[in-house]
Amino acid sequence: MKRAPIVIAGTVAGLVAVLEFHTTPVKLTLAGGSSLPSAVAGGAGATTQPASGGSTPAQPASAESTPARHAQSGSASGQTAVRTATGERVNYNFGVLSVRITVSGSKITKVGIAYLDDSGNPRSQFIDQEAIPILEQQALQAQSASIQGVSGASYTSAGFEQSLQSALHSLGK
Amino acid sequence: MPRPGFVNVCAAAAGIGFGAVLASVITNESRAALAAPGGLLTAAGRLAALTGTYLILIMVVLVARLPWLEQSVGQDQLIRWHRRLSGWAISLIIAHVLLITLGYAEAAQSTVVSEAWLLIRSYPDMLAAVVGFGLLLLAGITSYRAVRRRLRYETWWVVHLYLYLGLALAFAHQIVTGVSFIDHPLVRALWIAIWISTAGLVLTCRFGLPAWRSLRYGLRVVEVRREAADVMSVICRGRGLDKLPVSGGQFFLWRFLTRDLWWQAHPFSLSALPQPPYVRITVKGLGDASRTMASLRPGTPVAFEGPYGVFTDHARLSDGVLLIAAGVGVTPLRALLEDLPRDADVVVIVRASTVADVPHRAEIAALVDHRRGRLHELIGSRHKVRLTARTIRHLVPDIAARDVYICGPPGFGDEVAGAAQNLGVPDDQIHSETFGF
Repeated sequence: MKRAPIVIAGTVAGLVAVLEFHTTPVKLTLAGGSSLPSAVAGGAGATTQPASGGSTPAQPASAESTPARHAQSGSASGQTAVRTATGERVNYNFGVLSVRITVSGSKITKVGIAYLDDSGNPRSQFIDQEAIPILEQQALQAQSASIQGVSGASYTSAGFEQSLQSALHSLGK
Repeated sequence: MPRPGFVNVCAAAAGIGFGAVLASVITNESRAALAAPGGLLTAAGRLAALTGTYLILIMVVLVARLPWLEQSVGQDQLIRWHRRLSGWAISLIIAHVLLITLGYAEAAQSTVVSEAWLLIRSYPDMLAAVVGFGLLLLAGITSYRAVRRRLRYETWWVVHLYLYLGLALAFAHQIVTGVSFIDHPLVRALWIAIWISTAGLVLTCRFGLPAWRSLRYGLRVVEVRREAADVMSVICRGRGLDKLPVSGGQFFLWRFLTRDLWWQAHPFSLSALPQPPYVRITVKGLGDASRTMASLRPGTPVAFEGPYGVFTDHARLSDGVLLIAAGVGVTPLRALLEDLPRDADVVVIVRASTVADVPHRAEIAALVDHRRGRLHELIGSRHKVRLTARTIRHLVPDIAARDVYICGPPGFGDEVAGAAQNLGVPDDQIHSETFGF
């Protein structure tokens, strides 16, 4: 019992150290998304920018982090129409998500997440972070909502597919 | 007052809780999740986590010193159950850690080590859970008999105490990261309710009730009296002791509030029923603490927990009683003698090396005489005088029709209990109290 002060001090120090340990939690960035590479997107459509917001500098179609845009059609040079749509919000059992797509003519050129809420559970976040980029790629390759899904993220896959389908419907595909 | 029905209610509640937890985990799994890579492993890991933690919480409740439970079952039986569960509980938690890490690693296609490190550095509260896990392992290892024997009691006790901290540290990761609770608010609520109940019981019965009792009765040492060579009585004075709910044969955990002794709790039986305002314990001077007690000053405040023990008249089934004690083991029997009903048929056998080794010898003789019972003192060295089944049968031919109360060192207790069984005493009529448990 003589060592009690040392033991207590050690306990307090250890406790503070453990509680102050900063984790770098996995966080899914919503602004990103997957796009087709410019060559595949085809011709002039790839470099066409919408008429409004003309001060936007010319960017290759594969650029990330474009700000959200409402569904628009037409462009100054009368090229193929570029439209975006956001699918319905789907409850996929571990949270809610919705998918946003960009269509150029008849080709889906960009797929991303418009909304994601997985209740802050780290495991869900981790799974979603791994699965969603893969799902986006699958959508671009399939050019439809018939994607295989990601094993180990079946709920996320099903929700993604459902929201993607509703986005495509709203564009008449 | 023993309440056997209460024990059944507790057991039923524990069983129902376990079933509910088990059902929650199983129904919250999905076929798709199980089929995914690592899915079976993580599902098994979740099952192990919830069942293992539930068992740990039951273990905590068992030693939380619930008065009703303790009165019906007895402290030593509760501790035995606590020990029996410990192997299962710790194994399940170890399994949980391994299964989850392996499962996540398989799902992420990474090695176990890198996955473990990823878990700690990116999932909040995981490091705290790991520390809690370490404390659990440490408590388990130090309680393993081979290790515990080599440790000082104080060291073992402090390590065990840290389990409270370990449990608190592990709680966060269960609620925040637990996959079984995602989208299942009722299950989460049930889990939190189980934790809050456990914490409430511990705070109330393990800490609150003893503290309140100590304050209420306000015991202080009055006198330390030498009974024999290394046997002393400590007499304390308190308030309102006629309200203290104690039966003859029960013990308390005593804390003498001096600088050296305050943190130790010693189990000592009352050596007589309270004579308000006084209570008396009689102690043999073994070990440092007992020797320090010899120098207790009058006026020293005493904190206590209890009463504990089922070594009482309440446990008696028949009308005849046989009390068998060795040396200082007469202490609780001396108190029990006072508590037996008027018409009980009493036989007392005392075994000791010398007459001086029997504390309160005169008091016992007087009590037995007052009841018109029989007292047999078998005094002599262990080689010359032996308490065998034959001796007992000779002294007490109708032993099979009596309740037998045995008190003494562990070896003595086992021997005599065995002899009683051989002589036809039913198991539930044999009551044993061993010192140094």
